[in-house]
Amino acid sequence: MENNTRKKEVKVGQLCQLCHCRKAVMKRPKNLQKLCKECFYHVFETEIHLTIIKEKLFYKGETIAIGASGGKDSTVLASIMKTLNERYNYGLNLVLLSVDEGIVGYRDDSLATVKRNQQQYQMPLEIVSYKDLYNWTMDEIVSCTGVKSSCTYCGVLRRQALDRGAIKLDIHHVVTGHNADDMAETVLMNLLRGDAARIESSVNVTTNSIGSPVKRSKPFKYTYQKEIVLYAHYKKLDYFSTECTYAPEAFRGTARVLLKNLESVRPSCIIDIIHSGGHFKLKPKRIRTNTPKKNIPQNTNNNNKNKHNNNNNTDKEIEIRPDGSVSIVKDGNRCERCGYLSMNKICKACILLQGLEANRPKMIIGESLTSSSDGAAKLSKTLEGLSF
Amino acid sequence: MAELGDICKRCKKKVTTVTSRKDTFCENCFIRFIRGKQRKQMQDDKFKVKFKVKPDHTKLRVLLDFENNEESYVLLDSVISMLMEQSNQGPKAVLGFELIVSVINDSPDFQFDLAKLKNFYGIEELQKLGVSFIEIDCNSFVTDNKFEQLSLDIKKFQTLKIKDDIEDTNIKSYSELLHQAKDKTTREDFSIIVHEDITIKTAVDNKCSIILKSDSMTRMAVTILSDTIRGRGAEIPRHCDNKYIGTFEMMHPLSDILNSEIKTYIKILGIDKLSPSLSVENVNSNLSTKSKTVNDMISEYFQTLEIEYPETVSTVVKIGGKLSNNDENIANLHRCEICKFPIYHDPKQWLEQITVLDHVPPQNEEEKANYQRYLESINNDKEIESSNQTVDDTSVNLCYGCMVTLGVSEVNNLQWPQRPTREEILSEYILDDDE
Ligand SMILES: [Zn+2]
Ligand SMILES: [Zn+2]
Ligand SMILES: [Zn+2]
Ligand SMILES: [Zn+2]
Repeated sequence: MENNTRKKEVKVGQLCQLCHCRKAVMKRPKNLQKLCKECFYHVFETEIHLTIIKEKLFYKGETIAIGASGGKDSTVLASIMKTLNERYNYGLNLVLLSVDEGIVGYRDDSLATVKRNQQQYQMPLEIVSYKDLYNWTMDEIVSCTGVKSSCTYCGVLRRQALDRGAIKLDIHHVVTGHNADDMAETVLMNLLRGDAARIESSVNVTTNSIGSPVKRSKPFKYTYQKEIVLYAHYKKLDYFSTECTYAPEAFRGTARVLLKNLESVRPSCIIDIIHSGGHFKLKPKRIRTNTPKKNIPQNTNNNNKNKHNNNNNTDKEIEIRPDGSVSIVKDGNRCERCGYLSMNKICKACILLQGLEANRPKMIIGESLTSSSDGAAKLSKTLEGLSF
Repeated sequence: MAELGDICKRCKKKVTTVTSRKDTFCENCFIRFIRGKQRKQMQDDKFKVKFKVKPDHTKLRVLLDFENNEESYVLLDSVISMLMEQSNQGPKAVLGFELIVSVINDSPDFQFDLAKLKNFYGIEELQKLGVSFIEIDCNSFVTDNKFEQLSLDIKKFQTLKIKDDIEDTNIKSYSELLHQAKDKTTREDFSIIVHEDITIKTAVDNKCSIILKSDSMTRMAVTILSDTIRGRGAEIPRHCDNKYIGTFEMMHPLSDILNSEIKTYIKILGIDKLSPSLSVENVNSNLSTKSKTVNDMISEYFQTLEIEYPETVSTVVKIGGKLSNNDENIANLHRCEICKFPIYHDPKQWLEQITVLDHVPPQNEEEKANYQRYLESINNDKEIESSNQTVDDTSVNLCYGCMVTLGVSEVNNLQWPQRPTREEILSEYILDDDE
């Protein structure tokens, strides 16, 4: 506090609504409570701690990779993980894991930030690049497919890149900076896209596909984006504030705008949507029979049930997708090309890359940019039907 | 794709003037197309015309929940046309059902002209078809009910019932009931709860076993998103399934019809003459974001998607239809004091988990002094407060959605009608319950 506070007494009405002893300096975005800096830090950090404890996210001695992009979410995540690990004695080994997508001007600067974070937080840092993993940089991908579907590509490739980076370090748990706003957006997107495969798990803190060597967690599930920004601001954290140069996919963009408008009339709507998402349950699915295929469990959750009625081969389950295509699903299926865990024969990343390779010669020979981006759009449409 | 102005491929006579779902129609065929969608939803035998009826046959009674919107006019028109068809099937034909149209004047801009409506279809014709109207004053809902006084501590996520059966309630009208909340969306929430209550009571009073809701596919999609956004995700299945509770059925005959098709239907048949409410186009878009309700914002959102992503509405309705709230334990769950819906998870516990309310204690003399001044200031208020408090306050349960909506409006005290749950209303009337 400044020296002149003694001279001028804080009015009672201006005091923090939690401690009633310090001047409120901010309005908390989550519930519009007026708080002092100290109480804000306290509630912000404690809420994340409670999420970690309630969901039993970690065990003592576990090594955790923090997905670090240099942006505000992951920078605050690294800082908070360090703070809580020390304060509550989680006993975790924390490692920064960064993906270099190969976006000139965006990723160069943000990687520099991550490298400074490494010094500031005294954590090991591992960087995996798209170029090394896939032989494509994001810039090359965009020049081939156009900006329109860049986020579809990047999302798929980044997810795999983080997993592969973690495995390389023999780490089996990655935490990411996905916050409450991202969660709410995902719930809306799953409804708007009618994504039955994901709707029940939209708001899970941890996603862990059976057979997958890497678990993912989101300790910021209940943390508002605005509060992350405020925390970084007051704590003077060093982060890179430019958004990715490739704008979000258009349809997702519309949902994001809707959410922002809603938030302006109902700040609680982000948490409210997450509350709703936690209540989404699908009706029991009808089991298809008489299909001349091997007995294959439809999804991992049905596993136990299937063990009981597994006696004869007439019981069949296959997944029929909304577009009518049929997938034959096995637990822990691996991609035929790259060995990555995939529900489909060939994983999403490999399908994307295959499409890119097909377009690469065209790019070199001719200028048929329009036709190649058409191809990519068609491809990304096909991908909507596939799931991890 | 066929072009407008071609000969209609359905009747092969008239010229097409209407486009919908990438198809073209002449006016007649378009109307038939829409009515066909309504007929399909009501194709069950129980609605069909009968030729042989036993003397003790009691006719099915169907309530149409007529709201202040375009969909209601279209639903009414379509069901009337269905009854006309039935009555044209010869002298021995007995109409499949009686239609009771319930009109609740609970919308401030509701300009309903029953005489005009009756003249449009013909008074005698309506009588012949067994269509009757009930106009309900929503203020009577307020005056007929006893009120309870709730005291809400939004910060602690706690609600107390201060008084049962208040004699001196200052809530004398429907509008006063809603205006206890300052936020428009909260008032919208209240009005949805009350509307459903009045409708069900009317259905029961009039011995109707089926309620027809006028929701179009577009409106169902809005409701699904709106429930999600208002923290009422668990209630989505109520709006998507036809079955309601027990033998009592809630149906959505327009659930396969888009809002744009509703508008076209109204235009073609000149129904827009019937009420000024029908010609008011997009009044809301002039409002600032701040003064819109959640539903307004979602409706507009779907309008903006109409051109580039036309399939979104049906996608949302389809996924909504796949959701269930089948909780085996549903009978044992607590009910919300306000909306009367089951509470699946204790919202207090959930909120406490994600919103921490403790603080960092004073660290120095100055902060201790500040805290002291704060204590003195509230002690003065507390004395006044405690003097009006009665002893027998009981804690009551609110669902998450209601808690949030009251919080948004910063409602601390609420006078709310004491009503039975829907099940209680029905249990008075339903003798054998199959489910
Ligand atoms: Zn404080
Ligand atoms: Zn692969
Ligand atoms: Zn025609
Ligand atoms: Zn409620």
